[in-house]
Amino acid sequence: MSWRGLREKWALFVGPIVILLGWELLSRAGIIRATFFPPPTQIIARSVIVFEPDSGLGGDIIATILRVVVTIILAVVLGVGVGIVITLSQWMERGTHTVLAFLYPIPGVLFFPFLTFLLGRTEMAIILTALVTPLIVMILYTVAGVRSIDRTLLEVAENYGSRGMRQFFGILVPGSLPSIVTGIRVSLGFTLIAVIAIEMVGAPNGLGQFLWSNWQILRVTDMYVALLIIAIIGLLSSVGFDAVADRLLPWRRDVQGAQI
Amino acid sequence: MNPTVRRWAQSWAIPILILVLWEVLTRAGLLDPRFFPPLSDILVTTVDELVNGRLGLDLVLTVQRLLVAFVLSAVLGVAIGVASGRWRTVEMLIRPVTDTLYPLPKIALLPLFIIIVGRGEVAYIITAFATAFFQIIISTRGTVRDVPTDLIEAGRSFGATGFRFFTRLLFPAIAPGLLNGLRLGMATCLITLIAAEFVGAEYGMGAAIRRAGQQFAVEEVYAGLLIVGLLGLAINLVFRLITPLVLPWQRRVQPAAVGR
Repeated sequence: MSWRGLREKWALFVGPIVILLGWELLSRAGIIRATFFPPPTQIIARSVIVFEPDSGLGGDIIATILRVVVTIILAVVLGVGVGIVITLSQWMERGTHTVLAFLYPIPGVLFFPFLTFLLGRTEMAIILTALVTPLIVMILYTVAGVRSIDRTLLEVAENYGSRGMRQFFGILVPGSLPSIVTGIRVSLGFTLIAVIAIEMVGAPNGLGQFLWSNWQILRVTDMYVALLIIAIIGLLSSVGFDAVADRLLPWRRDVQGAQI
Repeated sequence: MNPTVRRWAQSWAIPILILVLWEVLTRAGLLDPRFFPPLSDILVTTVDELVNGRLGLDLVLTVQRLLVAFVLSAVLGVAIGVASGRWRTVEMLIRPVTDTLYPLPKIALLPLFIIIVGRGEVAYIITAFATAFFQIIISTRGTVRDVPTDLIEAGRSFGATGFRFFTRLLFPAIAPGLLNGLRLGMATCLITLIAAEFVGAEYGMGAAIRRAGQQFAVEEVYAGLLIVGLLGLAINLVFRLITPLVLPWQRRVQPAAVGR
């Protein structure tokens, strides 16, 4: 961005600066309680605990990110597979849609008690709980992706002998890829929400657990540090993901979302 | 087969098959009854808990919280979304804030809200509000952006200025996208609210499921899940019913979109 461009975009910086500066001043002046709203500079100074092994925060960050990554990989692999298979028949597609429309608004975290009955308080239960909503999203976006493929293209490919595995990897997956990528972005958001929520109620480690335990002993500054890290992960998973995806799939912008 | 009947059959064949299989397998004792109680028992428990137990109160509280949070986020979200879609300066002022806070899982803010406003109704409502609020701002802004410039120019030339510009030109133009955004916003509002209740409330559907989970009352866990799923379906149904009332012209313009 040129200097001129920056000067035109001055307004971009006004919002964050006003909020942060106002917070800092009000907190330092004692107008809002510093116990609950420590000044932003103090929170940033406190962020060094990420690198201190005793705080355990470094391990918590890794645990959360690993859970998110494993969940999203499972959701993509299973969701794309199931999504493409069910488009083979209208009966399966419509029927599955009804079931998913019922399950979708149930927050994944609600399945946690049930899955802990079955599996105990294991990592498996955490991942499977987090998997529920992203999997539904991936299936729906994959179906929408397959539906967006031009029928002529499918028929031509079939006439030239593309069937079974070749049709799957040669036509269906690449054709629905733009919608799938949008689905992955949406799923990432849901996965992060689910993982943090589960960690808050029932995981031995992770950012959600760190946040919740520091809240319970009112170590507010540490809680803000955890929030800051969660915000950064959230930002990376949306804006960062978009930047990468737009570069890899420049035609993605034209894609319509799935109908949920 | 008549196409409408056929479509209906396709939508419901698999769900009904699953329900029947569930009932038969559990009655036959093929599934562990501790984890999979028969469907009819779940329904009996649901009705019984709703009428005689605490579940009725939980449901009323959840619906109340949902309505308050959704109405607030809809009003403020649409207002800010329209303003930032219409005026570039407003957009640049709020964009950095919305883009940073949108991907942050709001459930992670619940502890913070509890610190600020105390443990009570307001904390859960704010958490649910915060989720839908940013989502509605972003979807509304997108919808306003998508209004063709020609339409705006033409309307202005024919005298749609000032207040009339919004009531007669802009709102009719964005109404379909706006309603869809609100529908998705309400679903997200419900998801976050239930998750927040699950993590930290004493009453409400989320709390009911957590309570049942801690007491290993499997049938009550299912009852809670069933009601939450139905709430989600109800949201979709309400929006599907009000759309033709609010947008009587919609059916004529896009007959293809109605059935989806």
